[in-house]
Amino acid sequence: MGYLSLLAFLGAFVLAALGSTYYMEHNGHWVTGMNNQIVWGMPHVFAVFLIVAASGALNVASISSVFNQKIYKPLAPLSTLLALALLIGGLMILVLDLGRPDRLIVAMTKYNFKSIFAWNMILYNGFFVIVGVYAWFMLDRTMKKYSRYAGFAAFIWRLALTTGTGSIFGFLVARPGYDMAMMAPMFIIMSFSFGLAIYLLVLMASYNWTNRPLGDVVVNRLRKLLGVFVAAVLYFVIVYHLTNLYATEHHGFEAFMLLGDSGGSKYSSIFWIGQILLGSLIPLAMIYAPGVANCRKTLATACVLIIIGGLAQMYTIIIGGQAYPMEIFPGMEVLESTFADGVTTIYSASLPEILLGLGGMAMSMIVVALGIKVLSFLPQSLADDVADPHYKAE
Amino acid sequence: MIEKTINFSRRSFVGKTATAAAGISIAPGVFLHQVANAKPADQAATSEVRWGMLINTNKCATGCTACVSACNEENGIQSNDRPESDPQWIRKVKLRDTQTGHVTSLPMMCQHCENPPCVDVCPTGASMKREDGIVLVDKHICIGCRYCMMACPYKARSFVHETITDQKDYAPRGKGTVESCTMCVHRVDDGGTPACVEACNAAEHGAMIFGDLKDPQSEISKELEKHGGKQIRADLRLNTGVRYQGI
Amino acid sequence: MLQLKQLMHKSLLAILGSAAIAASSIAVADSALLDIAKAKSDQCVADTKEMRANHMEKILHQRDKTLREGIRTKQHSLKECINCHVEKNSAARFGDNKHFCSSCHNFAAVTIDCFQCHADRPDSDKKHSLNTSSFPHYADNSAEGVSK
Repeated sequence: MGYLSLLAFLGAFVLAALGSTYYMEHNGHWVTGMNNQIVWGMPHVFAVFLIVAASGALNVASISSVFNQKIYKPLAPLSTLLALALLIGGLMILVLDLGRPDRLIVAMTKYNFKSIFAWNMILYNGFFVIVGVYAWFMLDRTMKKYSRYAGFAAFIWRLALTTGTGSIFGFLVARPGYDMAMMAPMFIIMSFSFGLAIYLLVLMASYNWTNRPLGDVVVNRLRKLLGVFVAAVLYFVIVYHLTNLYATEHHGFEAFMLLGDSGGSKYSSIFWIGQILLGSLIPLAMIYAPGVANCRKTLATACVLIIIGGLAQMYTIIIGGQAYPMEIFPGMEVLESTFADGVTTIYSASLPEILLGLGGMAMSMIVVALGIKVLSFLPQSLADDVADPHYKAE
Repeated sequence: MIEKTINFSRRSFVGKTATAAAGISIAPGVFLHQVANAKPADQAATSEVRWGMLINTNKCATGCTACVSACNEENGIQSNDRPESDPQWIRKVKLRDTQTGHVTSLPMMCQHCENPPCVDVCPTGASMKREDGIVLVDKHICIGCRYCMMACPYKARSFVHETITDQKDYAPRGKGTVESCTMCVHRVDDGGTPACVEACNAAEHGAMIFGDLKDPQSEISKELEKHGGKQIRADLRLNTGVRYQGI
Repeated sequence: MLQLKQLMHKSLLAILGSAAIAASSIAVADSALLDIAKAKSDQCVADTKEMRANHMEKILHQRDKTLREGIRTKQHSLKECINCHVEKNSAARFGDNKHFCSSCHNFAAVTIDCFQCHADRPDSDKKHSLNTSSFPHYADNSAEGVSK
């Protein structure tokens, strides 16, 4: 595929997203799948996924700068570019799904400092500045000596950013699916996994398309790291559900999410099939199976599955958490209500919402494609003899 | 910040004007109750009062929706026949105690918390609480992010999903912003009573009392002192301004 | 940017203002853009020049006072603007050149979002303020020196 046709292909998705936004804002959000029970729908699934992945895409740069691993140094600039690109895509979706996207300026100028959401806006804006400076220091020979400090600042900032994103959900005391401090660390580890999966895909694709050599040493290091992250996410998911299972008051929610009780079968299917099987177990097998250690196609498939699993996880967290009826009247059964009290809400994403989400992803990829073309984010070669300081020809 | 200039206290003002203001009729048969409490138009709401409501669920009639109709009428809330996305500021809920089987009926709306989660989470400060305890959405700076709807433990808020025209001039509402019960703040500032309470009284159920929780002489305070009143989800310690009896 | 916009706004209004004077003294045919709804400036809360230049600041100031503090004086309230400047059950809605606000805002291309939430014509239940007294905005604002 030619470079221009790639841009045109991605651009079509972005245009579709803008068209969807116009359609939703012109008619009002009733044309989407959202309603007064499920207020954050498919756009938020994509947006939060991309924002979380943005922070994780910075992993490689952090390992090189903060933990001083030489083999990762040439990989670091792409890592910063991808981080910025993913955040741009995620925020694009988030803003275009607002009830009043025309008031973005209000969101940027009026802050309620008690709100974790307001802090997130500061964290996102700061992320652009700090990671931007970090990328500049790495690419500019005269500033290179400071890149380590910028890298350290970026590392701290990205941890804060994902803590903030996780806390958006963790601080919601009234909803049984959310109210848990563990949301913040869980989101951090999710960011590691999703971000690295996207990074590996972009790395392999861009080296493939530009006919640059990419050796197994670098790829296998990242592959093993990815395996650890996927396992860590799985661990956090298990602990999250065990914690809920310990408290009797949360048993209803767990039965809903794990067993599909009280009309939650859609969400439990997405949990078991999407998040656990496709998103965790199969990728783990593909990463660690001895026979496919150097197989790029297997690794790429695993990365795609991790991304699908990540979206499934966001779906169960964001939409499943809202669909489960909130307990407004403890000890009471709701016999009648005009506002869906005590009733599970079934959400079906509308086409414009899905197009908006995909458009955000396409936007991220456009930024990466342009960045790679214009600036030297990619080293000419990552063949084993170049990349590995301990390389010995066999 | 806007300067607050309060030249004289509410009570002394009430003393001077009570006789003059009491019993004004605005239309045949409709009286401005409690008009003696009317705050002068040029004075800010103060924390000397806290507006609240007390709902006696034993008096609330099953199947009666007078409060809901009155609210919709008063605030110009119209249905588009899409119940999932139509705004609802107040709704009737019928409940059964799973232990005792006792069935209750009650109106549910914004509980006007002292510590409102919607105000805490709002990124721009559009969700706000007035000095007198009424929780409102400042639609001028609401960006429609819906985080308040995620945070509210009572599902009291609605997102305006469709274009609205010909709003009531005292109740501006518009597409893309979030809204909820205002405790009929325009009436309250005028010394009046929320439309739902008035309708409940007109239907001769008398299940709703509106008044100043900080005035020990008010009807609501006396009733609360005598018979008590529960908060819904008291475990969240939000100190709601709307209290219930009989649940 | 903002300053430039304001400058453009002001100069456009100046042009508009002088054009309006010309239009009132000489009969000008087919000038739909200048067909401004009656302003009744002699009864407004400030003179026409002041209102044309600064009405938005007055309304903005009042909006926060009313919503956040419950100060409901009528002098600078948008509701009273509409009660005076738009006929009850007016056929001209916001966006039409014949609506008082649109007549200028369309011409000056200044977008406002007031009427996404606020009613763009008086509540039909209420009497038209202009018919009730010669100084409607001051009518029951006996406590002087308030929202100045």
